[in-house]
Amino acid sequence: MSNMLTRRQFLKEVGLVGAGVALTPMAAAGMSVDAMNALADDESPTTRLERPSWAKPSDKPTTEIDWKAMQRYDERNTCRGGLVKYIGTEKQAEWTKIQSESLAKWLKEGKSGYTLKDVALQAASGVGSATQSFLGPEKVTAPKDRGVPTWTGTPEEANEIVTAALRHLGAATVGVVELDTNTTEKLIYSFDPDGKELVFADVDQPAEEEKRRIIPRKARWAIVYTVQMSEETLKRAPTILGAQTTNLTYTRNRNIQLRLQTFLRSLGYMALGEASTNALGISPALGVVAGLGEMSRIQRLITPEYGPMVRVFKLLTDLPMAATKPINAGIMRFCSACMKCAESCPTKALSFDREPTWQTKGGWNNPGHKAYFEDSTKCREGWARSGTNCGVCFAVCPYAGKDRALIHQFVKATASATPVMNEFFKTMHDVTFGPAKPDYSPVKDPEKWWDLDLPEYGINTMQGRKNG
Amino acid sequence: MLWLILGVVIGVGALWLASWARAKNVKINWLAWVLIAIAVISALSGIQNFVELMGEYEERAAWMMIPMYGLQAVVPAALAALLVWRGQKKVKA
Repeated sequence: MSNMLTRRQFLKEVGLVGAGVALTPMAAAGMSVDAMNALADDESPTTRLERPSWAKPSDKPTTEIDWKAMQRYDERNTCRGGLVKYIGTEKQAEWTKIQSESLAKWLKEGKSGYTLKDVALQAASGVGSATQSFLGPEKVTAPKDRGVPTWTGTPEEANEIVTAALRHLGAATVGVVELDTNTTEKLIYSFDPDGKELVFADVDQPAEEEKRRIIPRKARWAIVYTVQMSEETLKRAPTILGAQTTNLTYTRNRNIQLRLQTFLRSLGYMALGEASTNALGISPALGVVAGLGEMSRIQRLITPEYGPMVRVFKLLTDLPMAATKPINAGIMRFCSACMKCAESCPTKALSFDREPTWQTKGGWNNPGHKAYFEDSTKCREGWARSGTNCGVCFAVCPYAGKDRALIHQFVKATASATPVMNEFFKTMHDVTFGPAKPDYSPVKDPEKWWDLDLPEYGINTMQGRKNG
Repeated sequence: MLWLILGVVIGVGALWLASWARAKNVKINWLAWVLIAIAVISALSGIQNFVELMGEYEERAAWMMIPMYGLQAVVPAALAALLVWRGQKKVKA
């Protein structure tokens, strides 16, 4: 038999190559096979959020939880508001002095990322937001005021309209946790950052009292959502330019929260939000249970879509919704092999343990789950010495990428399927993106950010989407 | 547009290769075609990753893709050429 191809065979081969070439950019855009199929399906729901195919729904989170050991946590025990009780007033004053003196010196020197224009951008990013509150806006036109009944639908329909509304208002991904007294309710703080106790009660309406916030037991659903952060600015962490990333995201969320509260109240349901930054509940934990992502070595949520480049927010409602499932995308397992964040941390605050543990490092950790517990006081020292809220661990994470290049999807899909390549992927990440440098130097040059051509808010709102 | 141009270039290239082989009576066996296909796919992957990593402002990683995928493209292409050349030598002998 001849080795030569016939003309017909040859044309067939050429056709296959052409089809491959045509499909390549679709795959490059991060489209799953499901998404590609949906292109030909006019009836595919437009509000359903497409997740990467390698982020598989799971009955259990990848973080082991001992619900019996877990108790509702007092937010004032975190290092956000409770640092002084762990390090004492003397050290706190010393760190504050180091921070303010360094910032003043670097501003005068014009240090990259700490210049006047960076400071100006930070100032701008922190203004222009609504006031956060537990109960939401004072006046909302309820359905009865419009002469119509309260909106009703199936829990799944409720998920769809809330997701559509939240996406329209600026959120990235949305999940739902149904509160259960013996389990998920323990993820709601016992005390808010301002010292008010969060009390579940058999009452009809929520209330804001002098020392308490009353949550009616019928508000059983926690809507958990992410808001994207600009990867390009956070990759300039730890500088003022990097630090303003979170300012802007919190500012955006204050408006999103107020609007979500208005939306739900306009439908005829209660909407109990965060009274201040990081109030109401443990964001990463709720995000994990809602399936928005997995826990990680940085002790924050890492999402399949945006890596750690999100902030997580939550709100309670009595609108019956369908709980979303946790996911397993191999992220937590990848953290076992990859220690890039821990290697890059200037104060060695993150765990170098190979496996997560039940053993907490201090009162700032919430017991009852297996994690890579961090030394939060060391983290705060890094904040003081960098003069910012650091964020190096977010910047160096291999999951913090834009996913335009095929290689990202290939690595993530493989890591989701098997851990055998994880060590190799970490090594290759060091080779291609640069090794860890625990010296407070940003991953990318802050000065160059000002020359980039970036989308609005510095975020890609089309990532993982198919229609615009 | 890049992918359209590349598709046309590959299509024309494949047609030229096939007609050149026929005109010169050069035999390209199935293994050589497989190796050529691997080389083309590797080269396309390299181009995709290079272009998109540049778009992600990850210049260092983008340039790293050139040797990584370049090697994956050049080795099978060279093997295919070797196969064809050895096949020709046999025919002439």
